[in-house]
Amino acid sequence: MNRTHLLPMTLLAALLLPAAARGADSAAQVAWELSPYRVEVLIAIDSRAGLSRGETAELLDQLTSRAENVAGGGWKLTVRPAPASLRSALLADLAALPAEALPAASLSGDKVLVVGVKPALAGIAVQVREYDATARAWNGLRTREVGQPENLPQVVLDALFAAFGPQGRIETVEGNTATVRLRAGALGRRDGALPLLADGVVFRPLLVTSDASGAAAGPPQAIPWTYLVPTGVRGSLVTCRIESGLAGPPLPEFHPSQLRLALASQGGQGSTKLKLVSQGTGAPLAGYEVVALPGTGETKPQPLGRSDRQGIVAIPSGTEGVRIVVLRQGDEILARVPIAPGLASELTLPLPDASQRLAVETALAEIADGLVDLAARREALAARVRIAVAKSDVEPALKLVQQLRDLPAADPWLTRLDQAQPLLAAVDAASRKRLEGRIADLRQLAETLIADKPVERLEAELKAASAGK
Amino acid sequence: MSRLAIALVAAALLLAPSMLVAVEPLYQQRPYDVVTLDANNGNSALKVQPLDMPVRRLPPSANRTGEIEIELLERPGERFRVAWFNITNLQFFEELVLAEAAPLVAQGKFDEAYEYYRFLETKYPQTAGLREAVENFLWQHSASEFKAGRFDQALALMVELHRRNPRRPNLNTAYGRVTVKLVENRLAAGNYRAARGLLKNLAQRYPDQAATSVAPFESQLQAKATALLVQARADLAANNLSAAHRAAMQVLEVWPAIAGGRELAQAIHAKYPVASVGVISPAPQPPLRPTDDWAALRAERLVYRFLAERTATGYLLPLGEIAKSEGNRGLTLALKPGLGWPDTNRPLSAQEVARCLVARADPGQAAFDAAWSDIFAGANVTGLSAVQIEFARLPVRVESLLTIPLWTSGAAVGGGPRISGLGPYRLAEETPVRTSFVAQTGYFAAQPGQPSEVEERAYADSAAALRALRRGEVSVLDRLSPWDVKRLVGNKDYVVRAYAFPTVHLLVPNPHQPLTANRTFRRALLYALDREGILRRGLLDGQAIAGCEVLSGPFPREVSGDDPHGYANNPQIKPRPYDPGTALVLSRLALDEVRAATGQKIDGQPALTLVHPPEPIARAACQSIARQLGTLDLQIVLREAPADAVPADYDLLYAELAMREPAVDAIRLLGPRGLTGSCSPAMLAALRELESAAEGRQAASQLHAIHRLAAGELPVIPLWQLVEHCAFHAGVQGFSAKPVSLYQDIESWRVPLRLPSE
Repeated sequence: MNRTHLLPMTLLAALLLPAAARGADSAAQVAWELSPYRVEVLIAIDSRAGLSRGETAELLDQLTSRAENVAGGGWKLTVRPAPASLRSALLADLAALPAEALPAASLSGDKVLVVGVKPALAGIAVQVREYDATARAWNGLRTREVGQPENLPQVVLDALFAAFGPQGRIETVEGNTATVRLRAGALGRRDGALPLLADGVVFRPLLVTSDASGAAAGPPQAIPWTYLVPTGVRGSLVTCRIESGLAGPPLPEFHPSQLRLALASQGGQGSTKLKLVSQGTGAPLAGYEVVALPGTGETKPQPLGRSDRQGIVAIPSGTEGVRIVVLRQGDEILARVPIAPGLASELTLPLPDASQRLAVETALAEIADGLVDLAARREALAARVRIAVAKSDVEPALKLVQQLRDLPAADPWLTRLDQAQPLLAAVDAASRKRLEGRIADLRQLAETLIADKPVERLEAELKAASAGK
Repeated sequence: MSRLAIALVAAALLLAPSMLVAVEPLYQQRPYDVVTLDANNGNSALKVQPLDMPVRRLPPSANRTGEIEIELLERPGERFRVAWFNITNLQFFEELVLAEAAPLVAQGKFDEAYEYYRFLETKYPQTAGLREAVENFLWQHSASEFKAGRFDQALALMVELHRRNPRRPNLNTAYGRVTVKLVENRLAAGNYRAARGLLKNLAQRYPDQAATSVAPFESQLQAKATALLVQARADLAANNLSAAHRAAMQVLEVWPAIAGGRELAQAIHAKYPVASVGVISPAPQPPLRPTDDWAALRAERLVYRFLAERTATGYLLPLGEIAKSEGNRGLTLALKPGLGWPDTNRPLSAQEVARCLVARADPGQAAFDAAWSDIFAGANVTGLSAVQIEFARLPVRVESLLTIPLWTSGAAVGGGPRISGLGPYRLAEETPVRTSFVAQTGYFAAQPGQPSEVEERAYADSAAALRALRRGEVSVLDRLSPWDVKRLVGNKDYVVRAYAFPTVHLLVPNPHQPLTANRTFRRALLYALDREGILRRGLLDGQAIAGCEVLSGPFPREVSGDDPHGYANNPQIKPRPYDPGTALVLSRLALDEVRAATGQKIDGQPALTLVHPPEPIARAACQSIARQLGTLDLQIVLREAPADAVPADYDLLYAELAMREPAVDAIRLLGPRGLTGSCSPAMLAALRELESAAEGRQAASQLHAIHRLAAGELPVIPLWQLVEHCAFHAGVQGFSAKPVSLYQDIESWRVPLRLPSE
């Protein structure tokens, strides 16, 4: 017995349970798993692609029947030509198509899949992009090419399924793990080879206010810089690792009037431009180092370069759908964010203004150099004094002791540390904590050097040595 | 106690006395004599203060009566009396030194042995056996050099031996054999003058060798000179003037006394004046991109003309006028009428200018300049001879970024691209020892009487080039080594001229190598270098040349009050002192930091590769630097590499920078794509501030801040600045009073023929 047959039997068992035992949640869960997607495909075909009117009609028919054959009850599909108002935009630049251009009627469903068919260098190019009406978000662009026109229906169909991003409902959140239940997951698909989730798919979490029946009833609120990365699939339940650049827990607790949804997404081809800007002024931040942490099959972090004068650095796709990107400035790690390359053409990340932190770091580095050099000078001179005494070179030893006396005191460095302390007020909290630790270390070193009396220490050593003789 | 303090103490405790005081050879130690006592006194050998005896020799046994007074070395101030009959032997300090030198000679350690003999000849010239020992040292050393094929060194040692003892057995034969070898080598290298000199010396010192060794070579030279004279006359008749010049000059090289040779050379020079210039680094085809390579900077003025050219006081605009356009974000360039490409006479078009400007901003082009691409926004042709240049922002000293050569490319004979400039000359011939630039016909700024050809002759070092100047082989000498300046100053026959801008000398630590990436280690390197000593005693050889100074940062200091380049230097930042003890403690601390940070095992002597240009000043400086850094228990490996072939795995790179406009050069040196190879966040922020400076004073103030930051971070280890000099024969006319580069006024040069003297 294959899984396609198992699922309805499980559901049947659930339906046979007493209503009280199932509770409202179970009912909602069942409804979710049994709700098919209302999918509308809008297709525009460039006349230069060489399809006759008959072939076009044949394509639309074949798409409907083949899609139903594959998706089974999971899709309620409508395929129709794109309206004239949309047609040229669809064929010109699908990636730039705004949601507002879609017909209002199409948005009453769950998914709109827009398809552009146009001539290519070696045949016909097919471009498909999905718009999720609940999440009000576009998915990545899928592109296919076909040499033989008779293969076009199958190629368009492949592109449609590749572009399609299932919806999920976040069921549980425990630590860094979330479980997501897929919509229509309990409805049998006729093509058992079609996976519930394609490789490289990640979920974008979003929150939607729900009505009394549990249906979405408000605008979606995307949770920024957060992705759910699938790690395992069991039935319609997907276990995910939570990757987030947010400081606190990224996913809120369950609330009966709020849907925690997850939209499966897959980056398109290419990369995402990450633009770094100052939190305060919005000015571009240049010269920030960007490194991708190792993904599957990688052993070392991969440097991606530095942000240019416009604050931009390109994030190319890696071995997984999401890349964890670390932003550094010198030794300071400023942010760690997940990015699904290709999903968005450009992302803007505001970062704390570094100028005050840099000023404090520069001042502390100077103070550290001064203190370390002073300590080193003392120890070097003391060593030379001991050597001179060991060789009975009394005169040189006395001169060296005098040089030791003449070394500058450590007190001015302590004063400079006191002057640096108030500058921390303008530094961001994370850096402030680190710099306060640095100041404490330097203060301790300065106080050690102030308390240490090298000349007296040396004289005592020499006395002890001569008494021993 | 903080971790830093604990690490410091640990580093200091690791200092063994031997690390601060190396084992010294005997002649460098405090002198002592050795008194050996008899068996009754345990045969003790006592180290005593040098005995005060009228003749420092062991007296005859008959005279050894009574007692002598001694003072033990280890008990200063206490004097003891010892009876002569208790003394079995007495060894004086000089005898000990002489005895210690002998095995060094036997082992072939001649350099070490030399120091012993030099000490004895200076301090104890009366030492018994010293003269014989030194003669033996010279003989053995010359034999060793001969066997090793180092005939020059062998001959030098024999000359010294001849000076001391001309009648030493077998010296005449050995001298003759070495001379013959050397003459053969010189003739093979085309160095006829040297060959003649060697033969003359041999004949003078050992006349008995004249018939057998000298005469055959002289006949050979005369025959060659005669053949060359015929060739020169034929070339002159065929109006092949460059070849005629070379043949005539070679006649005089091979056999100067040949009849008619001088007259022919004079006749050719009248029709085809050639400026012969002695150089140390041969000029390559000058690159189109900005460069700090001295030879390229020299030659680029011959081949190219630039939109703006640096002068001692500002900028010259040789090709047209530049005016700020409306909005303050652009410049309008109006080309001078009559400009054209030499040789073809094709007019220079505004489109070609725009193409050069665009190529300068294109990373895929050989002309690319990162600093230009940062500010360049576009170029529009607004007329036949006008170009509108747009900038992302207009920097304070935009002229320095307009030092852009105008060039055109075509296919070379060999198939590769041929770059042609607007300059007065084109590269005609290039060999390792000679580079020739021939005047371009139709050059827009040509002057009657300017050299028809500039011939650069390459010499191994400044001393050799200086000899060539004195002999008349060359009339002009570029980049006199600083230690050679005094050799010409005050000589009425020659003019020594200082260049307008000093060169800035730095060590660039590789930011990608663990040790040199460590800030504390870089500071240790700086403290370990006696920069003042290397500069004053080494490079300047004791001379005081105004403007040659140790630096505290990457920017040049003012030489005089009106210098255009000193504005970036922050006078409040003083150079760190030479302090080898502190350097040693810091380097130990840094090694611990690197070990802890990288988990690398760094045992024994860490090896650092110091790469430097193949050029005498850098070579001399780096040898001293390597020696001094050796005191940090580092093994310094010296490697020579030209600027365009620096290996990526260097640890330290010796760099000489022109720094003619610090406001722009700071970014080229310290910026993200600069020579330093890395840029700290603080430095990047400071450089961005510099770029946004609205006027000169603000830029200078920001450069001072950058200087301060660089003195702390040490992305470069500042060494010194050198005022560079050129020299020329007093007969040369039209030379710039304060040249930026050698050929700045080449069109005004008038160079009389100089006939080589013996």
